[in-house]
Amino acid sequence: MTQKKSLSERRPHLVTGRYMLGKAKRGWSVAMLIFIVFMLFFTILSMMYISSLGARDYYMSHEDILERVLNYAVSLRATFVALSCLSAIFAGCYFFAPMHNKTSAVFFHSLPERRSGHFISVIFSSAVSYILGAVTNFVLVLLVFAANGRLYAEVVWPLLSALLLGVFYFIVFLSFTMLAGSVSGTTAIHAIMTLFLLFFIPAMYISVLMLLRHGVRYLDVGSMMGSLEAYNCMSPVFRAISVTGGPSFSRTPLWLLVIIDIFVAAGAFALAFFAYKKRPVERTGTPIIYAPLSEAVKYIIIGPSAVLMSEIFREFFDAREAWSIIGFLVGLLLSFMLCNTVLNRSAKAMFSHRRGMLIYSASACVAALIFATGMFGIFDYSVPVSGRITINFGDSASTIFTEKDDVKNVRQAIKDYISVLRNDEETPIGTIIEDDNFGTRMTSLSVSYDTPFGIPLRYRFYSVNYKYIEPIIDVILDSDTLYAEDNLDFSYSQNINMKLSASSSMFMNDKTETTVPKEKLRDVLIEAEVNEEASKPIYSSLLKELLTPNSKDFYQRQAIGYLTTQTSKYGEYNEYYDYSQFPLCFEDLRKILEFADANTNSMSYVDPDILSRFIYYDSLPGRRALSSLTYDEYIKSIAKCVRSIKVYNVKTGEVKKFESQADIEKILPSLASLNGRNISPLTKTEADYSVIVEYNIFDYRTFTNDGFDADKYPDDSENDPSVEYYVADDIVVAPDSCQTWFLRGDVPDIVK
Amino acid sequence: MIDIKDIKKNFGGVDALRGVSTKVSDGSIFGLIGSNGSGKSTLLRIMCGVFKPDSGSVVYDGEPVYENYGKKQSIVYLSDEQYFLPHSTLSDMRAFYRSTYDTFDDGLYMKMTEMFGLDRERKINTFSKGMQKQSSLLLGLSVRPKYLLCDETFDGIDPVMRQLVRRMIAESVAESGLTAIISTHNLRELEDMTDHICLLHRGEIMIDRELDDMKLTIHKVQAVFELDPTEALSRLDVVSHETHGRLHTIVCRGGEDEITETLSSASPIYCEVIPLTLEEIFISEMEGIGYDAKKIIE
Repeated sequence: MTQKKSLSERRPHLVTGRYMLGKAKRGWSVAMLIFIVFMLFFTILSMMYISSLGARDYYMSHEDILERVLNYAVSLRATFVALSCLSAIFAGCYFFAPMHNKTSAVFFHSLPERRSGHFISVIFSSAVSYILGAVTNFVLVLLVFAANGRLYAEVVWPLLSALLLGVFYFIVFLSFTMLAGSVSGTTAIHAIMTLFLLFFIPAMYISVLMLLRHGVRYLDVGSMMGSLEAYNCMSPVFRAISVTGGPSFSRTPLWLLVIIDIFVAAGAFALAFFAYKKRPVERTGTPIIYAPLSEAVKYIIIGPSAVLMSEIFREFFDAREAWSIIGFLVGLLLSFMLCNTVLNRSAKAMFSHRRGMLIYSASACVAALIFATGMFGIFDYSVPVSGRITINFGDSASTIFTEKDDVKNVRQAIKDYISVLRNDEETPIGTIIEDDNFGTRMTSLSVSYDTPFGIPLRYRFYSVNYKYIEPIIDVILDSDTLYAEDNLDFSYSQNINMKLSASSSMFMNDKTETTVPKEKLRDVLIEAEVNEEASKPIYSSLLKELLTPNSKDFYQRQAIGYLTTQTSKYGEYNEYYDYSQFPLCFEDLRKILEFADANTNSMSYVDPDILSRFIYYDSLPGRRALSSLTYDEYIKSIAKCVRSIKVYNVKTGEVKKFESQADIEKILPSLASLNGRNISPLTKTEADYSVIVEYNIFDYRTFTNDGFDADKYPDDSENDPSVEYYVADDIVVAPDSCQTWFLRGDVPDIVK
Repeated sequence: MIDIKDIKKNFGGVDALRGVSTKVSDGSIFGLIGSNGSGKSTLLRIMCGVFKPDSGSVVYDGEPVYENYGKKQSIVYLSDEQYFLPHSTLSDMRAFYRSTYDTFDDGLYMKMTEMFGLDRERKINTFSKGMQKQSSLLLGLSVRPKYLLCDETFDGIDPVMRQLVRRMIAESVAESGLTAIISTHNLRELEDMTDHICLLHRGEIMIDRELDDMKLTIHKVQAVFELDPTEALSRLDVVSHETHGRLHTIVCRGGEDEITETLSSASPIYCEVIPLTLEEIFISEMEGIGYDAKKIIE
């Protein structure tokens, strides 16, 4: 018998190595399980894929093979990281399990081992199991690549990055598992609590957005709900997805996401350690060790559950508000009862803490009401003072503001605008354009920005009176951002003057003769013809060059033309010259058309969403001939197609009708558009006048949602100008008049 | 020496311990008695550093026990619910104890497994409840701890093995100066074993005395009197008095000499002071402080 000397004085450290190693050894089954899972979903799949490439050496180039191997290596990263995250949760729960059993918890805590020792040994054992199970498989995969001669130098880094990311996110997820384990009292709750910690913030975020979706209609909830950027701020699950997916997944720099997770994991470990140190062993077996936390968890769960139930009821009962409120209350009650039962481990406790529930229900209802209706304008004033603001006009134009002063001005304009919207009953928010709004130029606007926490927020205002957003237009036009930004995004600006598009944009100044060399225009087209890369947005220097000389005036002018070039891999392309715009730069257009004639088959296309007050200039007689006319000749030609122009004075209600060719010729150049649509949001118009142009063309074209169908014409009997439009057999016939506006400051004298 | 000072512990609004204070001398066997729910297990778990008291302290030789790695090397706690590593054999548990305690004695372990007749390579979860108790005890004793805390350890062990266990504990006390704290709700388990008795009731200590002291202050007398003993008994602190025919059995407090002298005034034909059982001592003590002892202990 040998009695060893007590080592208490010699062991001031946190944990004893023997204890830690012993625990790790006892977890061999976990290591084995992790090994098997990685083997199945990682190693064997790699083996199958890599060996399948063997036969391709005969008919594929080395570059193609390399590309495939490289792509596969990148895709392995996602698998490895996902399995690592799951391993962390599984191993953490397994090794923590003895601390969740009353008998074993008492036994282990009676041993000569500090709590830090128990805590660290769980981490250590989990890590050892992971290393044995996962890292071994990683080495096997390397061997698979090498044995098949596919371990190219280019592949090493993607594989290595998979390992590094896998290990990193194993640690991150383990930290959450440890935190969940430290506060929960049973293994089942431990697993649930881990998921709760990982997802409760996104769940609350989504539930708030769901409430907002129905009430605050100008807030673009859909884009916020689908924003990975937002979720990146809330959970390591989404950061793992972003980091694993690479730069294309996230706007946020990946290194920043990794640093966030380093801090989050460190915080979670520290919190878990603190919670474990304070953990009362006598509470082992109760679902959540800390009673106040138990209540907090309960109320966090029942909020989103109530909203979810509300949404389900809304879906089932035709979006009726009353049913969604009932659903909300049912969700509250059911989740409350369920949580009480689980957290108290007794169905008898289903209705315990009723007073708390009543207070919570009342608070939740008030909060839901505030969120759902945007009461107190709580979302109206959250426009940031500085940061990054993007303004979009429907699908037409957008610009991004980053300068502090610009943002400040835009912010003030938006706040004023929201205030006007709220106080002006004549301008409802979120309504569709109706005939009642005749005379009013309606438009849509959306504003996006990142909140101080990095969550993107987007307001969307549908169909609002254009005059209310003029202050914002002024800010935009006054801002240097508009002219200086490299990434100025006009990719959807089919309304602004000339657009040459190969899924891209370019704008021509109306004074093309002096500012846009024809060669340059042609170069763009030719480039589009031969090179798919030209489909990338052409922003940079060319755009700047085109825009700079005339600055704001450019935006005050009418659109001059529209041409779309589509290319495909096989060298076929279609071009479409849209006469719906007012062509001014005839010479260039002619060149373009010549080019188009020589290379393409013409193709007509219409946007099926825009039917009202829409005229197809395809029906104008001799449309091709128009492009060779001078400006005056062109106006005269157009004027011949116009039966009359009605000018409606919005303020007085007075209507003037002009039918003589001379008057029409005087009025036409002052119009912002000849077809009612396609007015640039940056083109200012006179709000006091509305203009109706009535054409004398009876050559109605019919079209379906699939596009233009030239063979189908309505019967002559249907050509009654008094009829707005016809609908028969899914065929909609457009009317022959349109509403438009005068350019600001360009109201013809004969109208006044 | 274990110094327990004013320990309080509350579980969810229920006071499990309400200011418990006592001292345990080194090399003694300390009996902790109380009914179910009296706070024995809680006190033991606080004493071995599993629970943290709400207030008060447990100090072993001047050192607090909670989170004290060094001090816990000398303490073995045997819970009323034994825990063994999953699917482990006695040999596995031996390896575990060896890696945990610096003082594990392989020789003693081998000797005791032989004595108890336990198969070292058989999985413990196939053992009977009594065998598991024995396993737990032999592993604990093999550590050669300075302090052994046993919570209802004798429950479920057959009488023969119980005697063996008692003997082994007694030997350890004698040989290596073990201090054993044995909690039970059954007084008979502590008969002829403990040096010190501590009775817990509803989280409070009712009695906390050396057994020898208790025996000196209370006596049981059987006597047959010529005269009516009523007057003599009135001068004694009688705890209980029973008569069977002319035979009087009297339990009363006081010194032996004092009692016999007082009773002599009633001209006893036969008078003998006989030893009290632990149970009798307790009953009398409890009744002395106004409790019905039968309701407190079995």
